[in-house]
Amino acid sequence: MEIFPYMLSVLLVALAIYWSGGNTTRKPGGPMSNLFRYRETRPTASSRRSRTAQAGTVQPGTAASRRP
Amino acid sequence: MRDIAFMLLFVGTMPAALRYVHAGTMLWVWTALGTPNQYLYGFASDLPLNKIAVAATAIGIFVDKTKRKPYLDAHIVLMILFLLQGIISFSVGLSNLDRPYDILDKMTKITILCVIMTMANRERIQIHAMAIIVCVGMGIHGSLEGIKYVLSGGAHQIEPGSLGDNNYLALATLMVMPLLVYLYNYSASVLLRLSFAGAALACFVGVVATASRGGFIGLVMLGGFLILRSRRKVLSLLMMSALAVGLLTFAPERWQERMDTIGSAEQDDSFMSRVSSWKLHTIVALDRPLVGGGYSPLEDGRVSAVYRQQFDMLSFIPSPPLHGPLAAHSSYFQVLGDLGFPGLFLFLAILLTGFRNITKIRRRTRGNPSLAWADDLAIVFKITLLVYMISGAALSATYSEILYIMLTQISVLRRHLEETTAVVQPVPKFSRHAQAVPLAGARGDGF
Repeated sequence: MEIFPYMLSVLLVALAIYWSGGNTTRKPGGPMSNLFRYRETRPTASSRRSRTAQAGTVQPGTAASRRP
Repeated sequence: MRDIAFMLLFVGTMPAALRYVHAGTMLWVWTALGTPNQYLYGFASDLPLNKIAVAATAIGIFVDKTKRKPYLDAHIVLMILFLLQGIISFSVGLSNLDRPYDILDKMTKITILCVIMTMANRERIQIHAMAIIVCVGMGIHGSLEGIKYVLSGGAHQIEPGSLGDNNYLALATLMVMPLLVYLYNYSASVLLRLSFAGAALACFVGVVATASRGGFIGLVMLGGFLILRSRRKVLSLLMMSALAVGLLTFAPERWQERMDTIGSAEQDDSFMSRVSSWKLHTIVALDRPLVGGGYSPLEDGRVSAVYRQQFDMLSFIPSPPLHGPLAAHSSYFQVLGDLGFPGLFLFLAILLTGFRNITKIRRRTRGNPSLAWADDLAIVFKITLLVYMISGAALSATYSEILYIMLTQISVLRRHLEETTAVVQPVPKFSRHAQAVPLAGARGDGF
């Protein structure tokens, strides 16, 4: 039974090694592959709330202009 | 089948490990902490996976194009001195067993690994990736024990494995738990965050499953530290309370009876035999103050029989007599008996240097929101070190890889910040007042 979670952990390790290697040449602030991507800033309750709120609302500038 | 699947994954990491030195160190750390051999039963169970990872890292040093050089700081210098003291003590050691050689081999590898880590892990991405490796490598043991404990309804009992006994497993799992909380907070992927949260919970149950009283004390302390350091203290307190209530409700009677003996340590044979062991290790150190008895001298029955004859030397500390070979049951007394007073001094200096580095990190990150991750990581390492120092007092874990890996990560984090940021000078409290009222000498009306 224990081998399944253990093999999953081995897979995670292999992916983390490749993720780390693949992002070696990345410049600070540059794009990072998604797999183990980390937050650049400290997560706060307010930032989580604002992200949740943003997900449900139309962002400014996304709707088509009604001006002729 | 499992061996083939494992080897496919292991060999699959080789190209990255050979190309990037930091990938090699990650593989090295994982083979040291994850002890994959104990989970394999076929042809791969006897393969020297750790040595293969070491060889890949060594090749990676020459192939890696970043060509970074290792640096020497107080932590690395102390690590090297600690190893040298170990070599001296080993060369005049008392034990005839293979164990001292195994420990020397382990400490040599750890020291080399730590030096290479200073060269390999210098960016945030590498520090973050190493945190993942440490959590996955060491956390998997505690998580698996936790899962087994729940599935067996509390009947599962941990047997000593290649990693160590139940007490060591409890300590190592406790050391990983704050790092899992950090990864939960800072991972962007929801799936990954849930995985780390689940692993932290499984580790919590894993520590309970060890039935280690030192582990339980560490667990209580860890909960306290996490509440104190949390930005949402009420929520943390509620979560810890829920865990405590769940523990008291579902933990088997056998576990509760064992934990009840914490309060009556003086009547407990297990605890008093530890006091006797600490006394005997002190006697070895007093007999050979500069070199100690070499690694694990009292595990050799012949040596412990000689020193038991001097047991009355510290008769003012009441303790029962000892029989046969024995372990130290304390990191501090272990290093004292093994390497003498210089060894103990170096070991404590290594730990204190870790705290000093944490202070330096926090000074640099103060007032800089973009470095909040480093501040949080430093807090996590501080909690980990405190848990080690307190729980390790009743457990022989001086030569534990995870301790030195974490201490080196602290040093690497400090170095990373030194290379990427300018130090923020603390503003004196009364600076405005000081500017408004010039010094007497400045006005020219001195004596």
